[in-house]
Amino acid sequence: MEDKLLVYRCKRGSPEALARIYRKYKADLLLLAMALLNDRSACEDVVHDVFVSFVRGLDDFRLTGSLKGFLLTCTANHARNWNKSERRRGRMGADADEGKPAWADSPVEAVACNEQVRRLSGAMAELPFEQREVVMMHLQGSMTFTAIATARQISPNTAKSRYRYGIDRLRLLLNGEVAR
Amino acid sequence: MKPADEIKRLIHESQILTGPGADGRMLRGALDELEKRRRRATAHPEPTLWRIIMTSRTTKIAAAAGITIAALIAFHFIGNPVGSTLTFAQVIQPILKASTAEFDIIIGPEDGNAPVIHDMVMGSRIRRTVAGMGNDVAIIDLEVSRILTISDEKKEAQYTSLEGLPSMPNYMDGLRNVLLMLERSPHFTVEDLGLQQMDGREVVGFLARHPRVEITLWADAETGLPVRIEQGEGQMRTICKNMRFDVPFDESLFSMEVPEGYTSGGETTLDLLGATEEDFIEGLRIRAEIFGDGYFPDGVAIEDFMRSIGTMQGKGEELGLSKEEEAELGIKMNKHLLFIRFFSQKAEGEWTYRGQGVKLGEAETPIFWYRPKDSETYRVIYGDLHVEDAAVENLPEPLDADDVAAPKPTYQQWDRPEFVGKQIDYWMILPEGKARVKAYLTLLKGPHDTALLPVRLPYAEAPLEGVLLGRVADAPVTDTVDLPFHKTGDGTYDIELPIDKLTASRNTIILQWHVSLDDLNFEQGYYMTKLQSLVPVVSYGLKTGTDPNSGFEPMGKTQGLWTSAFSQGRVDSPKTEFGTCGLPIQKRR
Repeated sequence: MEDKLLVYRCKRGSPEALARIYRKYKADLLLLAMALLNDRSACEDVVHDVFVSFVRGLDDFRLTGSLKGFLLTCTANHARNWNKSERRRGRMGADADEGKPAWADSPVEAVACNEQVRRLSGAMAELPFEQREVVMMHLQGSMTFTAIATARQISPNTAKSRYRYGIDRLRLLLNGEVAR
Repeated sequence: MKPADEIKRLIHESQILTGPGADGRMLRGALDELEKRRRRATAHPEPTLWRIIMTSRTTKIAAAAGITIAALIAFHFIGNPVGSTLTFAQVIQPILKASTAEFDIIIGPEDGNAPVIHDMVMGSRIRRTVAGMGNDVAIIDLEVSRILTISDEKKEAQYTSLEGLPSMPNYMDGLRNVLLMLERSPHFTVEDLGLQQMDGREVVGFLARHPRVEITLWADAETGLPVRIEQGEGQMRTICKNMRFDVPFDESLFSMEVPEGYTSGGETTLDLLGATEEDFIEGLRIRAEIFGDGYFPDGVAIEDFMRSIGTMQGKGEELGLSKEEEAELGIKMNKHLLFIRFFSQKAEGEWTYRGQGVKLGEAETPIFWYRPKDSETYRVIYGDLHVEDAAVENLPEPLDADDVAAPKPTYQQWDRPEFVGKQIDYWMILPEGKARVKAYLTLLKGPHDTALLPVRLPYAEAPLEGVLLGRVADAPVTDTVDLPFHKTGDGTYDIELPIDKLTASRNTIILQWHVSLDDLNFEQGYYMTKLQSLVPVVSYGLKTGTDPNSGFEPMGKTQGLWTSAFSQGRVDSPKTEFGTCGLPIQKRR
């Protein structure tokens, strides 16, 4: 009920409600974006764009499922778009955070990640984007394969196989690390 | 461990923190968009008040409370002839004798904004329509405490069962009962307002006053027929006008059956007296958050709610709530309204609301205060909806002189032959299957110059053992004296009263006897006891406690030593029989 009320208040123009939604879900969205893009600046951009598009679409928006699931799907979509455009520009790479502005690591200004995020996003970066998406949407967003398939316009079997390949590869990459 | 569990744990342990700078960057664009959106938005015209109710499930549920509350507006008339060609007693005769009636009701001031409720009454049933609701109708059956709402537009019907509805066996009989009750009250006055012009005709007016109700009745000076009644009960004001009596209605208009071709939406239940302070507060929160854009409503009176329904347009739909959530919201609003509607059942004096213009969350701003029944302190609700107790001298505003807490009831003599009081029985379960009963009877009224108080104990085989007279209604009782008593029959006694001492506030009599649990019926795990007061009382309660060596322990919630087994608040007519109840005790485990 709280999310519906927050959405309703957003529709009525309440900045407090929008800020509450942001505070409530920003960590989840940033983690997803980080796992998909392995780039803190890009994460910020993606989450920024997610909220802008959320507000722009409020007129027609009707919350039928969970708001978190909706925002995670938006984040995955925006991350995918960002990924495509950056790939075209040839910017993607292991040093994606290089060239970030000087303020980025200031505790007040930055998006700070713990070691587990670095490990996760580092390993995820070795997976094809499509596998990252499915793994994170299923494990972090608790989305069913059917829901993921619908969101990604693929078959449920494709979603499952992407997930399986992704998990196997992650286990190899993180061999021993995740058990610590 | 599943292959994904380790990855899942890694995700779970991953933490991303953001500083204010990052938050600002990520949210700024959305906030800018929101501001643009707000500027673009134009005010929507308010739709017809009652149309909203019928087109929104959420508001319909909320409005059902309004209809229900309106259904409970009884007319309290006082019979007492006063010097005029027409007397008050005469002008109420058509009301008393009518078998059917038709009239309009307006809640709040008659300023054209309030919805007009049109009632047709036949026996215990009311057929209610409201201006602006088209052909939609509510049939209210007071005898079985049930409402059938019928939507002609949607071809839907819905039943609502009312719990806690005050006794109104028959609408017209209800009026007569009220008259009889008021006639017996020593607090009653009727003032003749004389002749006046109203809507081009000459009318005669009467102002009848009672501590709980004030009625102004206008009757046609020529025919004597009532034409308008203005009633104030607590802080609710109603106007009844366009009255017609003995109208030949078709009985089918009052049928409680779902009309053919209509779908039934099932039955919901509404507990009219079950609303608590928490329910009222939750309603305030909803009205601020959902309907007030973060601000509390301008008023919380029933008429304020009726007027503000217009602002609820489409909000239920905009929220996108599920049917279950809508029902939940509707129930919360019902309870919020019922707290105010039946405020006098739970509280003393009047409530004060100062929430207009206050934003939800303003922790320093008091928005509502009132005094619960039998409490010496007030409850003050603040803008963040926390509640504090406050003594009268610490209230946010001084009270009106006539709203200051009345002193504890003292004994008064009257012209009637019977004693009237209020009583609480304390049952202490002792070892060997016995219960020691101490009945605290506070006498409120009694006949002049009578020194004998006749009482009847509920169990004739349990003899009266002792009688004390004390100063305070509840334990501990101080300044006690023994009172002599004499057995007059099976379970009946006369107690000798020191009348001179009773006239002060020393008016509580404690009577003690013992009952064997074996003498009580044992049904479905409960020892059943009669609920019978010693004299006619206006309130009655029974509490139980258990001696640690009794082999019993209390069931349910205890308050200190005692568990409430039964409690009947204020009753209109003093009585001695309150049925039976099970003692909330069980064998110690």
